[in-house]
Amino acid sequence: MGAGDCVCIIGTNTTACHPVIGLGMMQAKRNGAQLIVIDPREIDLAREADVWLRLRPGTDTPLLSAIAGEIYNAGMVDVESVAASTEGFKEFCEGLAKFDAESVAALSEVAADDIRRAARCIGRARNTAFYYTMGVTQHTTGTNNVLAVSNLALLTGNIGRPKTGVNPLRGQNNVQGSCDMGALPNVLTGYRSVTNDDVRGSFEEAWNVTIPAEKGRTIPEMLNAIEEDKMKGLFVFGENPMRSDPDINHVEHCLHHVEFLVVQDLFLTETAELADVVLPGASFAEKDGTFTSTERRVQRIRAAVSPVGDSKPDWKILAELLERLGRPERYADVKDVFDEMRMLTPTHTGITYERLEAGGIQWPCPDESHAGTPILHVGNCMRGAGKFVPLEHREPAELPDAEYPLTLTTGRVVAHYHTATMTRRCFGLAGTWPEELVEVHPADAAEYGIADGDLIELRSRRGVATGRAWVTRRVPRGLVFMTFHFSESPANILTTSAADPVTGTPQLKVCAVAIRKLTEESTSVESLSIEEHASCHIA
Amino acid sequence: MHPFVLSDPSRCIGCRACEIACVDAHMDEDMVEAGNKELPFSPRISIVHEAEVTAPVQCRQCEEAPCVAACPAGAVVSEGDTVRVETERCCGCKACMAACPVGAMQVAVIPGKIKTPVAHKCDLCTGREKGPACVEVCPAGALRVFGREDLQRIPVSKRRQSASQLAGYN
Amino acid sequence: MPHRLNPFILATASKCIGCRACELACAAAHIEGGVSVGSLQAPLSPRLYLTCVGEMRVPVGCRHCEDAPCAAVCPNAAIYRTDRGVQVDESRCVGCKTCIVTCPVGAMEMGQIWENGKPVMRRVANDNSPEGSEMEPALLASKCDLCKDRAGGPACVEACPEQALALIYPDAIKRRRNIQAALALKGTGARAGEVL
Repeated sequence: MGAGDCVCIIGTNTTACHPVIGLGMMQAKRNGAQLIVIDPREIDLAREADVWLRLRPGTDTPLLSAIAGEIYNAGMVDVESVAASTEGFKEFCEGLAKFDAESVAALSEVAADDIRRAARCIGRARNTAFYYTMGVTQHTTGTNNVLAVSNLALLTGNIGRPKTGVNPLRGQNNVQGSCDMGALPNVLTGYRSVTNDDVRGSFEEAWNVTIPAEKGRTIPEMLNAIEEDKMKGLFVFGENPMRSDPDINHVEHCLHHVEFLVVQDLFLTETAELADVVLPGASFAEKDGTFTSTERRVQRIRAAVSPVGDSKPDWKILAELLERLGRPERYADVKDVFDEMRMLTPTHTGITYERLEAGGIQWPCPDESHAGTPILHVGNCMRGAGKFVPLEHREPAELPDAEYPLTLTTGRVVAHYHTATMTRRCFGLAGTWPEELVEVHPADAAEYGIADGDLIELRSRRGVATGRAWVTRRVPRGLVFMTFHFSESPANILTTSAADPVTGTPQLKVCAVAIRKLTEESTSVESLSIEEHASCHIA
Repeated sequence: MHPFVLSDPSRCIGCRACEIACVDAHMDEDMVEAGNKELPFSPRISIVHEAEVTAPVQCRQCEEAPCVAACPAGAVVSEGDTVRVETERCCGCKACMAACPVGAMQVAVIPGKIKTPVAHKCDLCTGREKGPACVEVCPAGALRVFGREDLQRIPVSKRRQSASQLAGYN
Repeated sequence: MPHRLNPFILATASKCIGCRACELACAAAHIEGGVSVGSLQAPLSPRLYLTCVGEMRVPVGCRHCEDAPCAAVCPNAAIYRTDRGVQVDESRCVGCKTCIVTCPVGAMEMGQIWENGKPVMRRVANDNSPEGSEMEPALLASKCDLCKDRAGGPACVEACPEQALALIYPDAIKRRRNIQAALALKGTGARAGEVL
């Protein structure tokens, strides 16, 4: 991207969490593209931004709607063509009236003029690409926030063309692939609903089993079902809910309560420690198969080393389980798994291992002569007319009050991945970021008598965690930031399990906390014992 | 003049690859072994990551180095292309840390025979075939070596540029 | 951060007026019970030393080295590192003076040491005394202990009328200067008039 284009990032600390894409954004900026950053923290890209909107956490929907309203009111919308290719346009535009810049400025703590500047940037740009991550989705209004981005892209015609689009940057390697393969409670592969008889029928025929027609449970629903004795067993694959899920004390209670817990992981994580059975999985370097990147590109991976010890690739563990459950005939190797999947998944049918030898292919790819689909919604939205959804603002589930006066928001740092079960075992990554650093604004630090580097305690309605304070203006006053990487400083003891009603995604980006300084035993330099010392040589 | 490495804050994304490459370049063990042996992680480059700026900072190899002047043990010496620490002579008095205007000197335990904190700092990866490891690894092109030739060329070319700008005045 | 490295007392030569208030305060702080005018019964043994070189004057003292040479050479393990600096255990010191020879900054001296309100004594031969010997104050290894038991922190820092002395934490200084250097690189201006 370059002059005339605009990159708009919302709730993504791209240079830290997706550094390769972040570098691309920096390059776009140097090429002359405009950069809009919407984030409560002064992340690295905020410094580079033409417009930085430091919103109060949880006000994404009104802020994005206000930008849409300003663009519409300034006459920067091609009304005729948008109306022709979308539905709900009129109602949407009417709904924007309540999101005028002044009242949204008061709500979001972003200056009305900055909202207008962002609107001008997007309205005048030839192309605008929107990027977002968990800063948008991990709210009780996550679905609305995504719809607000989508509304804005539809309104400005930034969809179905190069350098445009609504681009969620996936948070984990192959999370795209996992979701594509139906690792969600409500869909089979290719995002096809389990309630659809035809879709289910094709799997039932291939597998010779009956598949339940109702959708499964989201993670919060599973935990509740365990508590209510409606669920007896839980199989956790490569996930560490004892650190990554909100309200860990509640998670721990549920995992103790469940009758049978199986955990498949590379390491004995906090979750695996609670398991009845631990199955040793293999790492990315030890297995064959495909990963699907954030741009839907299915890519072949090959084992570089053999699995260590008794560990096995995930598919093999599952195939062996199937064998013991009386279905031994299923899969001889990874290619069998892939071939079965592609024959049952129209979006992937044209992707074969042979074709992948020549490089990755982006789905949808319906047949073997199809080149793949780099850009979705070309010409028209895949569903037909692009759908505008009028939105309302809803405050986060928990706001600061007298007892818990600060807002905690959580995220990641560049050196670590998720609950750091892998990255903290790497010498370099663990060395470069060895411990939790809780970002605290200097004014808040002064108020609570906290100096840079002090050990502090954070307390919420659900629990207590400690970490070292990093006194910095990266966070605004009233906001503290911590990661969920460090087992000894588990941010998710504090977070709330209040979740988005549609997706079940928890509100990890907002909860109310109180902080205080802890007095620390001085253990900075070890005292040499006299015996040890007496043996010192003459220098 | 000593060459030195300088960072460009407008390019740095704070990814810390330089820090890790620096540690790797100054160890005999590979990274896996270093982890198994629980060796200290002692970079010679410091990442500043603040709201206002993100950039690595390291030794400028000063010509009249305050660290050399401050050292009571004669352990910091200006020699050849760099200002060098003779680790065996260092007793960890930290005078160099107090003297360095950019905070480039580190006093910490480094992998090797000496088990107490000693002064160490950027040595421009002297002896490393491909030059400083941090410069080589940086994915953002934010680090650069300013060599002798650069330091001679830059002022001359800037003078030319300014002279031609001055030519416009009457 | 917890301070990884020992702090130490550093003087700014350009501020020092050579008044020796630091030496007096230091000596007084190391006599148990303290001293007031008229009550001084022993020679003053300061643990930092105003030193004049040409026109320049500045107090010099212990840097609390991380690999302290004084501790390394001590034959009786009387000098050791703690989390509050390099300290001398006078009860183990035999006055061998090797530490004086080895200290790179000249921070070590043999001085009178006070214990339980009295100076630590040694027996010396004296033919004139009935026992053939008598007690006199012993001279033992004496150096800056950062006033470890003094509530107000180092007495010399407090006493200096020109704020020429500071207890510095090297990690903190390094971090601050790193930030300032990065800001300067960005063109935001270099540090000026830093207070240590």
